[in-house]
Amino acid sequence: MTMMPCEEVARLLWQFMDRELDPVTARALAQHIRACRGCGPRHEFEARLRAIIQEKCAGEPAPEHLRRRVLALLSDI
Amino acid sequence: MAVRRRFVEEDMRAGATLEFNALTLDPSAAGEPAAEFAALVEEHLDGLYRAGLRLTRNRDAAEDLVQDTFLKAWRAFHTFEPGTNARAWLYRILMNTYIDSYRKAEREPEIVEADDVEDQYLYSRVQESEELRRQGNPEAIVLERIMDADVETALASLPETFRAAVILADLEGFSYKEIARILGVPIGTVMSRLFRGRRLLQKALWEYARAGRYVTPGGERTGS
Ligand SMILES: [Zn+2]
Repeated sequence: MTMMPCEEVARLLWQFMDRELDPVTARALAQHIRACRGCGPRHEFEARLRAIIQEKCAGEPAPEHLRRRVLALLSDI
Repeated sequence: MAVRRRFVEEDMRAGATLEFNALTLDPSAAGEPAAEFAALVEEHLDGLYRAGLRLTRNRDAAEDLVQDTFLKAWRAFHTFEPGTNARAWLYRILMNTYIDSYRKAEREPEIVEADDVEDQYLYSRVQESEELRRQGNPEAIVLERIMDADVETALASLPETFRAAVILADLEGFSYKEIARILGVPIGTVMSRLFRGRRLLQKALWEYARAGRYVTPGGERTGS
């Protein structure tokens, strides 16, 4: 079986992580990542980086007075 | 009535909040659009506020934006098709409201990139760095520094076109197709904005990891 080339993995990596690749391509890419000593760490780094960004930009819940203001719209109109 | 039942069933499958059920199961409110809409508010208020805050970078503006969004949504609620994606529908109204009313007359992003800039910008810089290699595990060192970085400021420094794509994909978890509908642009445009946004974010984070501070595209410092 021919492996997907490393350049192709780098090019498609974000689409793969976004779950936007077709199943056949996604499978080939996952297989490559498991086997390749260059692309495995690249994928792991991107995945950890994204998790950090999500964690650090999680934000804050809406303030209670906004909830009340919005729900008040329903009775005002 | 059928609409309400479907929402309740879906919500129960997803592990509903008690607040939501109490609201929809209130017999006096049964089947009324106001009760259905109130359930949407409870479910999506936090998410819309979070996205609004990232877009406007200002709490007061985010609150006004979210209130206007729900006002428009409520007025258009009779056109909303039950069973379709309520979350994407609300985010589309949020984005349109933001673009119409809140966006400063901001210069369009004029970020010129070399054609050969690779997607995983940060990873490539890490691999190239002799200095990091001397210190041990370069990937772990950089990720640790980014853990300490003000990532929110880095995100806020992106031009809004790219920031919006990154917010919708990476923080709100929408698919390319959903983002295309929310922003009213083709999927190819979503991908190019999103990937460019990610590269810009990675560049800002690399600056931080390397120098301990940010250098924003316009040269100015941004804060929230
Ligand atoms: Zn490889």
